[in-house]
Amino acid sequence: MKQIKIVDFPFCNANAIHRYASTRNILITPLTSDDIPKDYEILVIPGVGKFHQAIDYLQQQNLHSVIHEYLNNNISIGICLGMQILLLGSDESPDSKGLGILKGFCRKIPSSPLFRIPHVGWNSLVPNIEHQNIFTDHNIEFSQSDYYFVHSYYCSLDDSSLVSSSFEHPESNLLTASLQYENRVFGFQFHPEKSGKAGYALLDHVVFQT
Amino acid sequence: MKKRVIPSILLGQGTSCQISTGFTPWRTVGTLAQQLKLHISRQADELLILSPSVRITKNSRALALISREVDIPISYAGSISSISDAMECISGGFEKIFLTSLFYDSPSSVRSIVDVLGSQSVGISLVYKYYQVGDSQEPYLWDYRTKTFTSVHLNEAVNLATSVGVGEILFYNADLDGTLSGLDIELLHRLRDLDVNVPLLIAGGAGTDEHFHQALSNYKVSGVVAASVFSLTESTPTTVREYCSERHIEMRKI
Repeated sequence: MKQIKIVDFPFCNANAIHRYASTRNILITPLTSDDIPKDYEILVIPGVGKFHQAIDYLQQQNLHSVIHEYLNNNISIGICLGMQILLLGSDESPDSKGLGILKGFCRKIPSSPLFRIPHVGWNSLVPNIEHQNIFTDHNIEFSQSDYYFVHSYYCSLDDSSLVSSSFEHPESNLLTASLQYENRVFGFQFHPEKSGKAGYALLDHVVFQT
Repeated sequence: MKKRVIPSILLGQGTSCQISTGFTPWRTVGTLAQQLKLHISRQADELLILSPSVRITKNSRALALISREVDIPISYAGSISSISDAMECISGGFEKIFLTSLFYDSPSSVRSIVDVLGSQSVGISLVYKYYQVGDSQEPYLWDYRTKTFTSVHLNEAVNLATSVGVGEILFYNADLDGTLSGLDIELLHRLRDLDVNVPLLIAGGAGTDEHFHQALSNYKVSGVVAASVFSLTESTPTTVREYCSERHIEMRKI
């Protein structure tokens, strides 16, 4: 029976994750510094707010080391800011160091008359077809749907093979919409928990089939 | 980016929901649970809860219903006067808050909220009406609390809103509210000349699928917020999406 450990940021809307878990009868509990990863547990790092707030909270709660334990051993899902903090840092908070699980930095989305910032609303994904990932199987219903984005920064990864899907930007071509690392760590810049049926199907796939 | 159809829900007493005309509630249209289910089943892209008289708090029945029913983005507007109010809304389950009174009274407080929550979580709702200035009608902010004009021109308000860092601006024509007579065409023309790069929403007057199409055809408009049309006519978010998609507006793929 799967269970979710959630990083319980106080400034973040975690209700949507709780709702998903309740519809799937999954027990969901806050991550604490004393937790020891069990193989049936899935780590969820949600996130709304600013990069430094998330990092400061992890430090205050002494969660750095336990998060690394989970990220190195368990299926883990970072959503929005929760994905961004997996990287080394962010232009949003230059003085804060990220978790550094993945090499790369979060950059401000380039401003353009044809692309409003924040990037808010529903957008399509462009799967990274050069590398097998959860979005390359077009038979799966969620690979064709639109998802809800709300952010101003994006993940610029050193290793582009970790990008599982992107969204189109009129001047910068493709920017990271999701990432996948060792079929264990999944990052979504969009909010699957707020993207209706398609988002729930995507979460189901990660939670139950990976 | 896909254009958005955003039903708004005006909360009355308890969890009853109302529609308004000219910013005055006039008819109850069901309960919050009914409205949420209805709009989600009709494939709304996003929802906006308006609670002008009583702020939704963490333990309110309304918030419990929202947490239970909603798997799409939902924003909130109403009686937010501090950072802690704003944080309570976000941690309670809303993606975004829209501020109006606080922006009128203390734009610097809006800046403080943006600094904490990030611009993507904070929008401004600019309620306006047209005022005769010489030979022309000019849009000025209208204070729905006192039902009087302010001295702030809409262009000035937009500049101020962007300077305090908000991530979205909702233009709400108070005269057209609830009339079903069409969105503000004059504003749509004016938006073309407006130098602003955050998403813009428009509300007040939508009464047919074509009204949505007119507004969403404007490349600066990201979405339309509407209420009465979804209670008093046969239009639904689904029919609007189909109508606009057939006319080459990029709408969400379900």
